[in-house]
Amino acid sequence: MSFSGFTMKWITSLLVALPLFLYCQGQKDTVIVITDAAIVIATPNSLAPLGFKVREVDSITMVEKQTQGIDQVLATESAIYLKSYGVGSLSTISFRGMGANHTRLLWNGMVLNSSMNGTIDLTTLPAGLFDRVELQYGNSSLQTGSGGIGGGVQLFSKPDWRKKHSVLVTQEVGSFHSWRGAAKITVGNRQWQSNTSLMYVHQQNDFTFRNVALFGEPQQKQTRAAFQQYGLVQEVHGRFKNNELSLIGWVAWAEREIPPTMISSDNMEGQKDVLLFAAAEWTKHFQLSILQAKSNYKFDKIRYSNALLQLDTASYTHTLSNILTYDLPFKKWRFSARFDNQNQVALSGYYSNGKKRQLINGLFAGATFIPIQPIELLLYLRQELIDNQLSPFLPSFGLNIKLLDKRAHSLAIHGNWHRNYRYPTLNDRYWAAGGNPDLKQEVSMGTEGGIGFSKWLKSGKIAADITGFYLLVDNWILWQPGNFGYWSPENIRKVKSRGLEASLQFDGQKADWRWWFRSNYQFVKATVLESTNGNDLSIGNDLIYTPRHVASGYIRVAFQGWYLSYNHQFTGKRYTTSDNSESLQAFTTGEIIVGKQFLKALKGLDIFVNVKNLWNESYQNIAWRPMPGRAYYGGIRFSWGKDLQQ
Amino acid sequence: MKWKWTILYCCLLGLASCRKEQDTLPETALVSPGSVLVLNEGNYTYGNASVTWYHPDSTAIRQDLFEAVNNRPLGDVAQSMAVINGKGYLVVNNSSKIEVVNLSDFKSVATITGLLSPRYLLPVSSSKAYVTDIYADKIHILDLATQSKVGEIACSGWTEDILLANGKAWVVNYDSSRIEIIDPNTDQKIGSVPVPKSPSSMVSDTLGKLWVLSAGDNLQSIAPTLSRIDPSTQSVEWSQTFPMGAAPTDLNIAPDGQRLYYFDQHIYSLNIADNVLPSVPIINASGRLFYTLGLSPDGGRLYAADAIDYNQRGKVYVYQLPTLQPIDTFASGIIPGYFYFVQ
Repeated sequence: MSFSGFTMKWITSLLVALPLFLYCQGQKDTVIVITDAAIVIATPNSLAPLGFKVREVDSITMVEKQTQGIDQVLATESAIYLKSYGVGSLSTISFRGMGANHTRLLWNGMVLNSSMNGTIDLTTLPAGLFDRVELQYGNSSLQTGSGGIGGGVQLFSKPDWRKKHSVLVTQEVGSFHSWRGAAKITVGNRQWQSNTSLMYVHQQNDFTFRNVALFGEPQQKQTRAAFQQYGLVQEVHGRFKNNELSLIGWVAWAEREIPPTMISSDNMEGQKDVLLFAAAEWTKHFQLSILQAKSNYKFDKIRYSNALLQLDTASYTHTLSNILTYDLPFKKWRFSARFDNQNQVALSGYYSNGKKRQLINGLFAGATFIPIQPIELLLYLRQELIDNQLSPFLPSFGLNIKLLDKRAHSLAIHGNWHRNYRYPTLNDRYWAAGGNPDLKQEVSMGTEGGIGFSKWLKSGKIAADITGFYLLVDNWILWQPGNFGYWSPENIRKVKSRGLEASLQFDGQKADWRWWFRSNYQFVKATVLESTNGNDLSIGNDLIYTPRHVASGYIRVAFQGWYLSYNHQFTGKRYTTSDNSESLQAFTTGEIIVGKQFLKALKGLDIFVNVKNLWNESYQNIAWRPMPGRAYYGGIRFSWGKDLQQ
Repeated sequence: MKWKWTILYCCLLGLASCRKEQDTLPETALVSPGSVLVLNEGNYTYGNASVTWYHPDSTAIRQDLFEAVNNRPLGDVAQSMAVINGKGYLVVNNSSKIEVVNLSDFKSVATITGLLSPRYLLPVSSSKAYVTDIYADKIHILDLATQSKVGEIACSGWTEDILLANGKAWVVNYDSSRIEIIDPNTDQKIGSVPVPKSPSSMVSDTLGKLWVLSAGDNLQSIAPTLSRIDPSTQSVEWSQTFPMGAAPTDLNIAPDGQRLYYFDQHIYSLNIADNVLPSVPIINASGRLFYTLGLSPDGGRLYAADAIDYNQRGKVYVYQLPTLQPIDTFASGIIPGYFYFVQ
């Protein structure tokens, strides 16, 4: 990085931090901190996760990233660690020092994580297919099932009942032979709404990078990193009297070349992914209570090829889920009961008879209670039966105290204590060879506490929050070579994770100017406490690929149709070995978007330019996986629509 | 209260944005006779293969020898090493290359490419070497004068250990469960010897006999086997099957060619005259995950490497022979997989 680039990054870092500093200067008499109202969000058919941290993604970000993977939305909106193998390559996230398979991905309450490996590649989930995204920190995903020890992400496809018709079409073209497009078409009335979303991505990803693994660090062109993807969602929502009905189907198809690392030979690897979902939801509103029934079917296929190994294998999973929930408010109480059932079938040539099945039945009961204002209490109880085996009972308690709850400002503290577990995946248990059917669940226990503040100003809003957490996970599963030369999973370790999350929001407007500012920071220290191997030098050391520091922030400014958006992300040093003897350097990336909207009513054009990796940082997120330098994109967004008359 | 949080927040954001790692390279070591070189495989695709240098007299160690001297990483999965004419040939499997260094100072002199997934290198004359390969379906021929690949010998399947006996090159073929025989004068395959399923390692003893350790297949209920081949008759003259569930690996022989060593979780040994496999280990693993063995050229020391969790620096245990007294331990790189003893 050049001196000037480094200086610019510093200036930008300061700029990101400065508004917070200035804000604090000006608010000396105000006791600071908690969270904005967004910390407690309840979807209509679930309990508000009082005492737990939940954050909704800004709708502008959803539009801004309409043609990109959902991972880009999450990286912009939070300080959780995004582990990406490159553009168009595998991408996963982890909360609070946990792994990708401790992160629950849900769509309309349905689990997206693969039953085979417990994770989902976020690159395969295009942001343009979803209407709303919610980040669930810690254990707040327990209502929908176990396993989200670190946290979860909820994606929603929801109708906008105000729409008569609307079209939003985005087309982008850019560096490295990149073409991306997305469209969303809505038609409806007060009874019916139809949403159709489409997207495509074509990227050659033939960027140039400095190969630091070779003598003289020559510039090389990335080869065999092409990625293409198509996605389609069709939603039909109806409401009549006190009933709501939704039928939703979506399909996403992706094909990618898997490039070699800087240091290894090209194995000519490739992957094709197909994801298919179909869901039916029915919601009945009684005078006070709500009953909801959902059925979902999920199919995914991953076909992996490796010309060197002469390998071309495919694995398939089918999951049928049924969910029944009932919510009842009663005086100061709100009760929720849920029964869910998942029938998972996975087919792979690496299973002993080619097929494995898992049946999960779950019962959830929860309540929120307001004994006296401003104290709010929450209780979650969950019991699962997995393949007819009773799993550990999972209770959680939450507490929210609204110290100040005025129109102009609010101040609240929250806290919780929770228990969770992650059941071993089908691969953990049955992979041939090496699967270990005797594995125990990873069991976690944790607590968190935080304070949040928000204040409405004449011209905007300021909000800030800070949350600390502590998490203990026993029976941590680790794959390592076993007696027969196969890698095999064992319950090896006990892991402790603790940390701090802070965020600041400052939105406002003056005359024709509007601005939005977000800043997020996470400190996490996840270390090994105990190991069954006496020589294990990982004890006391950080988990691999778990940065202690992650920060992100953005500033958006709009003026008379012009807008400018700057996104900044920092990812701290990551250790790549369990004894912390090797590490990858921290990196900082910036992105700028400048555009002009020509809008009248709900119709108009939006022309924009986007520069990614603005500081041209040469970095590796994963060891020896090159990332592209500065990249330029230009695009046009067309919108047209009409709302229903009030 | 406000100020505390503010300062903490600003400081953390600022500090977090400027933290950079300063790497310091270890001092270069002179690879003198008596030195022990440990090739550390590193993790597959992580590109963290390395060489550890150790001297048993001074017990000094240097990590990352290749990178320290040459200012670039060794590559992905260091598999094995051979020394020919004062040059070290480091076979780097998943980088599809062989790094050639001056053994004395470890400075890079050449990189041999054009290979696919190389495993072991055997000099068959002063100017020629063979390299086995997992996926190439061939054995590569190297010209040692030009340090380049000049030819290949068709050989279907995963070829592994290779050694010279009776003037011929004998090659373990894991996939076809055969020991291939190649004439180094003509570079032609001239025969093969069937051995029990999945042969993985091979050594020759003081009598010129070849000992082959076959892994079997636990999933197909085929037990591992130790076999002895008489090169003159090109046939298996003795074999002994391990009990089902055993997983012996990494067959080694003492420099005098009299005593075999291998590990099956623990370390076992037998004399070449023994007709039965040992049932009692000579060294108990005691929770360690042994990954490779080595025997010093004077026959006085046994080196056993523990890869621990395969994602951290390994640990090497040094034992006196024949007393098996532990005399030293030292840290290696990630997944220590091969010992080379400099003479």
